[in-house]
Amino acid sequence: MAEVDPRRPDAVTHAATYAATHAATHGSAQEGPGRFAFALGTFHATALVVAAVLLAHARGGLDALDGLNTMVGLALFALLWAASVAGTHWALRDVHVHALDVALRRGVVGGGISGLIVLGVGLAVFAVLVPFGLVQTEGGLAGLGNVVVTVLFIVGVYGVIGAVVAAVVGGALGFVFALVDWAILGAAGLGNGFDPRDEVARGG
Amino acid sequence: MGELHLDLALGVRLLHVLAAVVAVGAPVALALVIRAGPEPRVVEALVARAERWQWVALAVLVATGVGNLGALGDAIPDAGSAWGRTLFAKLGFVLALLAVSAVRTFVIAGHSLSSVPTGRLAGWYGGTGALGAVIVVLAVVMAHG
Repeated sequence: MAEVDPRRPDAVTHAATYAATHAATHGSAQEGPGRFAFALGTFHATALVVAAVLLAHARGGLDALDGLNTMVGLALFALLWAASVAGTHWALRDVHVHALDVALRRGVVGGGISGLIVLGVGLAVFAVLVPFGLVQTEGGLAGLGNVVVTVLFIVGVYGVIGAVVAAVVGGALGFVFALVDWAILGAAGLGNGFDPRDEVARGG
Repeated sequence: MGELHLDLALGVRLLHVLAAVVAVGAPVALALVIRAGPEPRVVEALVARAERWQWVALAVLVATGVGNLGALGDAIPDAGSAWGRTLFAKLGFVLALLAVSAVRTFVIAGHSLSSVPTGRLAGWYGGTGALGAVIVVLAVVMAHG
């Protein structure tokens, strides 16, 4: 059965309903959120990219893709995908009460976590590749200490500023997607106070 | 360098087409199989695998689709041209496919498969496949120029 918040007995949540019914019919509660997070996280990443391309096309800005290296683009997508699944998994880490306000709050934090993962991995790649590239370009290890110090300084400064931006942007996207998820789960028959097994029994 | 870029673009396009085959073909095949009325455990096993592969295929489709646009570069026609409008429509249908796939996944995940009418289950997969087929038609129109 779905979990019910004693303070809000009508607020049987989508995710809790899903997880509870899934656990009852398909396996353990632990398995439920994992599979749920993969599908939902993939939906978030792909919908975000398609929506961004759609907006860019509307503004005539698809030319900007010309400057993006294909491998870098695919790697960025893979990073966004992984971060999105990880953030969604965090948001669905248990199957307890998920009233809409809780779901939105978790969406914001989960989105923020995704944003920080993208930033963190990006900076880590930068910190490793740039000194390596500079050393290769310069043709030796001379000045490596200065390069490393410079890179660490850049990573530190951009890390602090970027973390705030990444968390805010990720949180805002997480909020939007929490609303979208709410609508999608509602359309799937996993709405408030709704037991999907009853609907199936009615032949819905 | 030019040859490497060409090979990479070809590889991305190949991946895009293969992902489309899975994203469109698997739901259609599943709809047909489910309508034939196999044993519930067969449906359960097929659906579990199909759901995961479907989402992987959609992710690959989106990633390589953006890669294909990048390969076109400056050659991308204006949004107001016929090609540009077709791209708008295609992207809109892709968003719709993603949303419908999400609803379908949660209808399946939130219910006991054995209690979901097979006609309803087949309908979800058939609908997903039909949306995918529209996208394929738009893609062919764009490729034709």
